[in-house]
Amino acid sequence: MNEPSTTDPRVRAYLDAVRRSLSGADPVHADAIVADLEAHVAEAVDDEASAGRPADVDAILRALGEPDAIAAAARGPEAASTRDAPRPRGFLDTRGGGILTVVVLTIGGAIVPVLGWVAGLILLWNSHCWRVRDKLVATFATPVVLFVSLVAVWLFRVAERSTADCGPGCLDSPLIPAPFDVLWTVVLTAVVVMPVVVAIWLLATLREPAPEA
Amino acid sequence: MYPAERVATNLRKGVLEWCALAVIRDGDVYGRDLARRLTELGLLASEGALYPLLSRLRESGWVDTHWVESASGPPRRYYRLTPAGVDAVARFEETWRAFSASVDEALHPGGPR
Repeated sequence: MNEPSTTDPRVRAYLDAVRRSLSGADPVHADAIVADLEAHVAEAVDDEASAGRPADVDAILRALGEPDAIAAAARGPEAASTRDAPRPRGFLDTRGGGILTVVVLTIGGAIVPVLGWVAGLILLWNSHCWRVRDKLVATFATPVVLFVSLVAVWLFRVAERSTADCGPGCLDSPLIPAPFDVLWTVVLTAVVVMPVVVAIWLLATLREPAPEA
Repeated sequence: MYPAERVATNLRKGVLEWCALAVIRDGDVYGRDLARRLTELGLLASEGALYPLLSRLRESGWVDTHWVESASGPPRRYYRLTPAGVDAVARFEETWRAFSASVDEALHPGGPR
């Protein structure tokens, strides 16, 4: 008997991704495409069940292709051939190139301060393995966390100075860390922890560009 | 270097909808079956890319759909050519033969067709 294939979280996630890719399309057209894709998955599961085989949902979704390729097809052959003209696929667009990019971005800054990180960013923005949104997150996550943390430290010091002005007999609390310690913690977090977080994010969102329809 | 993939992609884009119509002309098909046949013919790189095309074909009035109960799963939407679709495929066949002959003539002037 048929499994409830279209309620599978992988199928829901795929259909949601297609809907996002179709965000610029006519909503009625987009709804029809998503409904057809959902029916396709149900048919595939049904076909496999009829043949006495368990359905491989991942394989079914792989055969459907990347959501972006479906969105390109939705724009029509004319649009697809001009706006989405096939680009040369280099090593950077392969899974191996994507992993190399993540490695350079993560440890490049530790080997050659700043320049290593910049090199990682250049690889990242020349790769087609990530969406622009994912690249923006990977680019700005570390600087933003560093900036916000430094502002927090500055505010902390200002607050501490005003505490120090509280008059004679006003002592530093041993429970409040010295500003220098806090600063180092912040810098270490931004320089060591954030690249690892960014690397995990990039590996989770890594995708190999699909062939065109 | 000869851009084999780009050439194949562009050629596929130009003929995909007509080949889809031609396959439907051979007999009613449901979406996944049509996607599989076009993929096997090397005309469709990913099955999902067929559905925007089918949506456009429905709007154009060249295909009609009807639902057929499945023995083990949900009902399936079957595609069938309308008379206008049959006429369109026949016209495309004429266009294709003339076009193909022109390409052959360009590649092998005066040669056998």
